[in-house]
Amino acid sequence: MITNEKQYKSTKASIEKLTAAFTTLATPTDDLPKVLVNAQRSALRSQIDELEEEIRFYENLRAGRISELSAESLHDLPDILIQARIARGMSQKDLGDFLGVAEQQIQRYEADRYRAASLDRLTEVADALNVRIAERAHLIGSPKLDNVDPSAWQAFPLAEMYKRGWFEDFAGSLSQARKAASDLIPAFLQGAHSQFVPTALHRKSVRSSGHVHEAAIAAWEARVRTLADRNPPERKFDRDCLTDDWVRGLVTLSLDEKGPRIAVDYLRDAGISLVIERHLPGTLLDGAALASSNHHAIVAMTLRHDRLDNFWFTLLHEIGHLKLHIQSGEYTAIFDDNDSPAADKVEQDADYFAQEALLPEACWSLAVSRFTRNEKAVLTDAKRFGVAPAIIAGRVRRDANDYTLLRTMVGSGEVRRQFGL
Amino acid sequence: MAIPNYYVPLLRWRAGEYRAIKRLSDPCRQRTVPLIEVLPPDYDFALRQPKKHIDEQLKPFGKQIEDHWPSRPALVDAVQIDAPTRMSDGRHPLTFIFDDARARELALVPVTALDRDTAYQHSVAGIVAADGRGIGLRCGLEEALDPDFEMHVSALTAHVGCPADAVDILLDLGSPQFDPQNPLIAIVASALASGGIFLSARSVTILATSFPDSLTSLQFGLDVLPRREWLLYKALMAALPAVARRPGFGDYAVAAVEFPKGDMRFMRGSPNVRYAIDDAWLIAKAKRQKSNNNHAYPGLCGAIIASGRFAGAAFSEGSRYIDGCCLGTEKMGNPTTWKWVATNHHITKVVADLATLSGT
Repeated sequence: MITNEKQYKSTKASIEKLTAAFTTLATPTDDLPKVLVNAQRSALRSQIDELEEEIRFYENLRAGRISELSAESLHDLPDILIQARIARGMSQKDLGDFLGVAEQQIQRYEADRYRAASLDRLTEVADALNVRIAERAHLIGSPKLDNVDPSAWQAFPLAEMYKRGWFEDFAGSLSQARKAASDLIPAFLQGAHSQFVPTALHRKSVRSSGHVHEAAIAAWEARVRTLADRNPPERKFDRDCLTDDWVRGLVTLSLDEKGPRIAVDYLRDAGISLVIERHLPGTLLDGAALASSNHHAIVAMTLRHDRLDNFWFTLLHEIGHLKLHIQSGEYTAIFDDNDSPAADKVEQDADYFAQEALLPEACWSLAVSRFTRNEKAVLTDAKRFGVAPAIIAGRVRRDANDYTLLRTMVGSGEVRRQFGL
Repeated sequence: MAIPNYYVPLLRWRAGEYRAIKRLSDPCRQRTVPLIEVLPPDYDFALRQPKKHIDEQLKPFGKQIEDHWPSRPALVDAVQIDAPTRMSDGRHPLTFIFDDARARELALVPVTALDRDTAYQHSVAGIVAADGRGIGLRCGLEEALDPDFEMHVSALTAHVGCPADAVDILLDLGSPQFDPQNPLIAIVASALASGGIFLSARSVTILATSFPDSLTSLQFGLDVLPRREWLLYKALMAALPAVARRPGFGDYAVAAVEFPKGDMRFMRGSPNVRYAIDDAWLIAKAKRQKSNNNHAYPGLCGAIIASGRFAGAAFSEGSRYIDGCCLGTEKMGNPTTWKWVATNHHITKVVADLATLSGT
């Protein structure tokens, strides 16, 4: 981009030289094959066009024919400020005088595209140029996970992925990882073959209360798949095996104080890998249900809320997805933030599945803890219905939408410990 | 089966409460069986110690019963007194109360529960052996629904030496969530239908209260609070199968489950008059003044009378006092006055309601 008169003049001079060279090549010569001559002419023409475009843009700016400037991202802000100065008819010296700094300082700012300028300075420049910045910020992300661009590696939480040791073959420092991100991220994702198979075979859904950070979810999914594929269950997953008795058996494990840990083997015997992986910054996930390419199923949990009631509800919710949605071909992956509303039927079905599995409505309607919200009532209902007190207490809190109730009854701090976290 | 026509108000035996039952009419007295929670001495927040020794606290108790509730049965529960508390002579406070009552020939029945400590149960056993009046067994709905409830009750009655047909079951719901009401009725009904002690007990009474812990959310002037425990009881009576045993009715009179235990030096309430009406309470409340708070009472009584829900001065002693205060023939009183007025009228009203419901 031309930023001052000196550059304008030198650009014009360059165009003249290139045009002369272009004209010379128009004369036939025996020295070069015609095809090469044409290639050279084409390259020169392209260069001339580019420079002419810059000249035109600069002249238009200078003549005040452009009053609106657009930016795709914050990266474009420095260019906008330079263009605005030109459009205002201000030289770099004028702007320097306006701000009380030397012309050379403005030249340095513009030469390195304001990289060294503080936010205050950028604001000052924008004010000096009387630029009203009305850039809209769009949160990119769709619950259908259809916007993830594998080449947009900048969007991935590289530092956190590095800290967690996800780039297992990379031995460098974090700053080296940053430099190598354009290689590391795609390799990490493709290694887990998680995201970039044809969309038709890979329909996904995210339950969330707001915009979804697709890249963070894609990275988390990739990690989960990698961990699951390392040690797949011997048995093939068959959703028809998730009978009422099997589900009841799983819920009964809640009565054991090591229930969450025991559940890993119980699920494994049904062809389901249970993977624990904390959620990444930018995502609020409780868990996910995923189909695996090698015929087993994956339930992944973040243990975001370290409570027994949340563990069992999330687990049964994901089992519900496996039974109802994942293997029926509707989806290959469903991600859940169970704190957010169940906006569609898929999520409502899974919520209902979990709720009925843990505490059928017929039992809940006769639960004394619905009406007498104390520890004794919770223990009585747990004994009556054959589930852990934490499940009853969790249901009371969920129904009352009051998470201050029965705090000591929901098994806080008892899940992560079992998984060594 | 018939609906019992006796009424069990739970009282904390504050001055306002024992004055209230002393002023009940004879027919009303005949149908009232108070459940008295004996209170420990108040706490002196300035000196950071109880205001009295437990001996001083309990010594007048028997005399007060004799003066205010003579010759009539009452259930006595010492749940509010800390378990390790003992009289100076080493007796358990409950034993002391019943030894004194026995000397005065009072018809008191000790109340216990499954979770009381061994010393308490031992005291109850001694009282049962000495008096032979049986026990009151106070249990929550959550205890009654415990699959092992029957086994626990059998163990307790054997321990205290009380036969099942000398047990008065007090199914105390406390202050439950009253909504949704129908499932709550189904749960209570399922507990009552579980047989065992609910069939063999001398009596079964269901207690609850919906009176709020605080009246601060109520508007100044006149407000209406539904008596959810009474509505629940009526609906329960309608829902129980014809052959099922009907429980009696109890409530916490005009008080909440939790009563104020804070530093009274800093507790300030707005003047209010509480008045039981059909299925609800009328609460007349005025803004608190810096002084002469009792000057608000004639106006509050006037609001109750003008509401169209006033039962008439002749209905109860409480009603009579309200009418008199409004006319200026009675004093403006103090909080204790208005406690007895509200409690006396409430008990009279509930007894009348029960008589209507049971057809007696």
